[in-house]
Amino acid sequence: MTPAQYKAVAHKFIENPEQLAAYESRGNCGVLAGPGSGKTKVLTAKVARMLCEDVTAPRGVACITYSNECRTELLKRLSELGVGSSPFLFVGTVHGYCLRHILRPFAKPAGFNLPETLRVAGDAERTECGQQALERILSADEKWGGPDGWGRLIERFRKSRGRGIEGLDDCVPEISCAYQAMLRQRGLIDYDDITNLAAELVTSHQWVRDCIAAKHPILAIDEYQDLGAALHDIVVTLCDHRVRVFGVGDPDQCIYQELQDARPELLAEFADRSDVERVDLRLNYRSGTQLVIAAAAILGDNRQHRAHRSDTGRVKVHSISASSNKWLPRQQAHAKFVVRKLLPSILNDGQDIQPGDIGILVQDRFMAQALAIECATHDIKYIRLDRGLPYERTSLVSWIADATTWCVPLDRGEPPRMSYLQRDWIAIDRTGDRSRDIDTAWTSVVSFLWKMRGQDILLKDWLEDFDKQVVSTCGLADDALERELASLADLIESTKEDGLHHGTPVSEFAIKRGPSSHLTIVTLHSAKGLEFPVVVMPMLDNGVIPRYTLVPNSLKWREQRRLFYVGVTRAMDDLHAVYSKEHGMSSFLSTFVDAS
Amino acid sequence: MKLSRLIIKNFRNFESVDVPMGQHTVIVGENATGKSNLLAAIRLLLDPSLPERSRMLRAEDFWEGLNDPITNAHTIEVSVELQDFSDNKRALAVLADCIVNAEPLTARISYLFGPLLDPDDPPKSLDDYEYVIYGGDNRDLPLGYNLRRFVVMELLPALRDAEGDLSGWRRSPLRPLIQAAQDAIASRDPDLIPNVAKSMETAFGDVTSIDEIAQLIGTIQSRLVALVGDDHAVDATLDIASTDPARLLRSLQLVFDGEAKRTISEASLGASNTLYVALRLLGLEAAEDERTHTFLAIEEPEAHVHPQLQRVMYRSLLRDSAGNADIQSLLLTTHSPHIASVAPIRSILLLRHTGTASVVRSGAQAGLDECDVHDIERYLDVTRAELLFAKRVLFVEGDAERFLLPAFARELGIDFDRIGVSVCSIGGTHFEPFVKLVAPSALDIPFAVLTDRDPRPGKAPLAVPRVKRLLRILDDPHGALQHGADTDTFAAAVRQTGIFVGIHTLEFDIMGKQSGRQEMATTLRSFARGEHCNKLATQLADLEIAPDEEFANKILKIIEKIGKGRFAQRLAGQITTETCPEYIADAIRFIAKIDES
Repeated sequence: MTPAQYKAVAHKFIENPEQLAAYESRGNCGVLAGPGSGKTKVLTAKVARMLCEDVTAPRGVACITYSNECRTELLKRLSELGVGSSPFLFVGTVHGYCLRHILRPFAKPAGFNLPETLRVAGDAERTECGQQALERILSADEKWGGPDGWGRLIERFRKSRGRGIEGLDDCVPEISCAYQAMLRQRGLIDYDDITNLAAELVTSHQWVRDCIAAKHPILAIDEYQDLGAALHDIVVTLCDHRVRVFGVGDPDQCIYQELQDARPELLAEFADRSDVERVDLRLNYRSGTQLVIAAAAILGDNRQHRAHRSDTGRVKVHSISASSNKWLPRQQAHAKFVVRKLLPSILNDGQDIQPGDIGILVQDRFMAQALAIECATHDIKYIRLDRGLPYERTSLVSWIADATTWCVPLDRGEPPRMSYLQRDWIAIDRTGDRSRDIDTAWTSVVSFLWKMRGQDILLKDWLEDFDKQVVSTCGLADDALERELASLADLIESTKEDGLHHGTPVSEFAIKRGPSSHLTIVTLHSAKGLEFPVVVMPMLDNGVIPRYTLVPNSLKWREQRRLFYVGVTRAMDDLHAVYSKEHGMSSFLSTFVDAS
Repeated sequence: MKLSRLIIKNFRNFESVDVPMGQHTVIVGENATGKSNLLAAIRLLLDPSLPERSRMLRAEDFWEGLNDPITNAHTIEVSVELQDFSDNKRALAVLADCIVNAEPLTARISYLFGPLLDPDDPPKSLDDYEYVIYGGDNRDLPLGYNLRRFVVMELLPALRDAEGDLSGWRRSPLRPLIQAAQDAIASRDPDLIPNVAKSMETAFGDVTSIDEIAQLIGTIQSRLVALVGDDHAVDATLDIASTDPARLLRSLQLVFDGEAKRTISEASLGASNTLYVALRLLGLEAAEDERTHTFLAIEEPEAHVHPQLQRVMYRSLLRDSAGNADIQSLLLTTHSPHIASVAPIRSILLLRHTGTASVVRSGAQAGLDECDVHDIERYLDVTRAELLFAKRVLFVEGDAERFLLPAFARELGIDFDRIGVSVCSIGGTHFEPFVKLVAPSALDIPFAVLTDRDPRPGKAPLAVPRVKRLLRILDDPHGALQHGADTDTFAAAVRQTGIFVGIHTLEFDIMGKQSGRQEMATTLRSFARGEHCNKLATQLADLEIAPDEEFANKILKIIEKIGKGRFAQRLAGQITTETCPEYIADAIRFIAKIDES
């Protein structure tokens, strides 16, 4: 490990007192990081520093983030700082952390009566258990929400951990109790169990806290605003137990309250504790001044965000004719305008803008689909990054993405090292049967990867060979890996006719941003963490965002405002907002335009 | 931190071992019972210096009682449990993944050597075997080298070369200590050592420039050249020590005996061994930064150390540290009764042959309370732990029995030494702690108890409640407790359990025999204690039947004045078979027969 690597990065923090304050913090630190404020750079440098300077092996640092993709990204950045492969650094999702470092080692000695091998329920199993729970508790005429509606309510209730939820039906606690019992009967747990049980272990057992504090006396947390109540309870309890916490996030970019009961207020709650140093990163390195000021205005409060850049950036509002009250035709009209009119004018602007510099940010996958069709008919290359992936982004899928970039390196960034591929492969393999011969399996993986190296074939063929030569021969087929295997099957399915990855070459599978020849279509939810020189946001109509049904300033209304905020803050230079003149401008957009 | 439990399956001498352990571990047992193998088992888990291929066991490492262990897919398993580590944060960091019990906080580390599982393809050879080391009871949590290296057992083997190690540098126990000192000096004053080196170089230069010495150097060098030529000759010279600053401190040597400054090679083996252990212990304390805990295992620490020193040294290491949380846990294998006699009883692991496997028993499993521990440890200390080295034990009340019983046995044609019977006199009737210790549930040493009946007027004899307490400790294997009403029946019933109750007291019972009265009379006279005594002796010899209580007490009074032990010692020379009371003969035959099945 060469400490010089993170010190070189940290040297630049001298120019930014806010970043420096976070990097120099000695105790608990809560970092509220505005868009483009370099939060990942600060987080990774700080993690590397704490690992090298503040703990001694065998004690270490745990770094928790939102998703497998974020984990991959963090690991890559930490590897560049020379600490990625330290055995005393854990980087993973909340669920990975809770499962590996809390439930597996402590549930049994604490007397939790859980199945011997913890198996996480698949979607089908969860749905079945949910239905059975509904049938047990509700009479036929009460099931008005349908299993989907109820399922979401149950999920939010379980995630809330006793914090209030607006408009929650009285029988939800009872149903979720029954649902949980159904899962247990089948020897299953679900993701909310993982975090809730972990929180219970941590809050109710002194020795569990002692063990965790001994192993990871430092806890670094990324995307704090999206991680939910269970993790917050764990963090606060451990913080009281002298674990040092470095929490980073942006409450203004919390966009999973509706979906997952993420709570934007939790990060500030943590950062404002008397034993936590609060640092606000307000300097935006991404966007032009006008964009920074206007974006902040959307939020109502004065965030005091400042732009690092001296140029203004541009906001262009396009009003088009799209009279239909139905959404689909309206979306089609917007797609037509964007592809036929707007794109050519952007590309011929004389600013030397490539398609790869453009991100089209959509509110749902129907808009994405309309754009995709329009692009295809005009022979415009694009990649889609909407959340509506036809497969789950499991750790196996993430691994495959890494493996493909090892085989065919992307035109930006370093390809992953073989040793990281090995580490992650073994981590996946180990979740299954331990008696399996991991070395033999890894050997077959290596020979497969070398065979595929440098061959930019169709993803379909790559995956089929992988399935045949690696998965089915090394005995990966295993109950504990059901989700991973299902995601692989779905991924392979998506490479067939009409699938998302039909005709996708290996070289394009892993790219987050298209090559310069491809524009990017992405939903607002998936756009978090991305940036584009030019952002196009269609369908910013009155009644669409915020939805006409929402009461101003209600929770859902505020979440939509944060979603809009995430969108506009992706733009570096130019933002193109499109609305239908027949319906009028979104109230968020008009606030934004007024301020810019 | 301490090792609190050891589990072994199918490894070398051991078929199945599961014993609790104390703060320290003192392993005693005859030759070839597997003392070193027991340490070898622990090394599989705790010795990172063990090469990988030593962890891939071989066919001969399976317990020999197994038929075709490999094709029958047998496994070898070793686990240790650890406690008292929660105050050591770094140890807790390693062991956090190994917790098996919350109260008291207990971690387990396990080694498993077994076949790769494939139900359709049973193992054919050791190529199909693999080992795994994991924490807790979950094989999903393998414990890698990067964690195992922090909790370590270091072994000083029996055939160590203390003198050799001390006089070299690479293996010297001084090395980590001197290196630490060197680092400390360098950070305090970086110029200090180079300056000292420089002045030494100047001083040494004076020596080598003395004409005769300089000449000698020249002679040596030219002879070397003449012998092997310029190309091969090494550049040899004479010097006192290296004056290279980096190597300066390495030339520090241990010297003894004040002014004489004798080097280690002149010290006695005992002194160098003692010093060696002391330096190792210091070295382990200095190494606490790199490791979170080191258990030190010493094979035969008694080597070359004379008995008194053994006792002094190991008493302080094993006992005086009690209650100190940071103490260094020791594991010893020893044949030395002197070390065993100062070991805390809960630290004793006793190894014994039974059939094809060795069994391991622990003093920690005896269920002793603090008072018991006190009694037993004092006793072991005084008797040099004879009890722990015995194959069978006959517990008796006092010295009289201790002298007389081997004599009776000899007369019955049984040689106690040859069959390994120790007659242990406990100095009273408080047998309970001793029985707890040797009971089948604890050390499981075959034993018998011989006790006086001690009748009381109008009440059950004292022996009855005494024996009942012992039966309860032993779970009354033969249901003798239900015969409690009549003392004779009860006494007969408890013999099966190995408890033999006298008729009265030993001296009374001997006086009950014609030949016994004669032999006692002769012995009394031999002490030449004057008229009164001789008269009583004659009266005793003339008696046709057992003496009455009053007369017997007169005799006893004299014996007590002489000293019961001293009297018995002399009586032992006189004793004949006819004198031996039946219950004593039965006890002797019982202890001789046990274990023969």
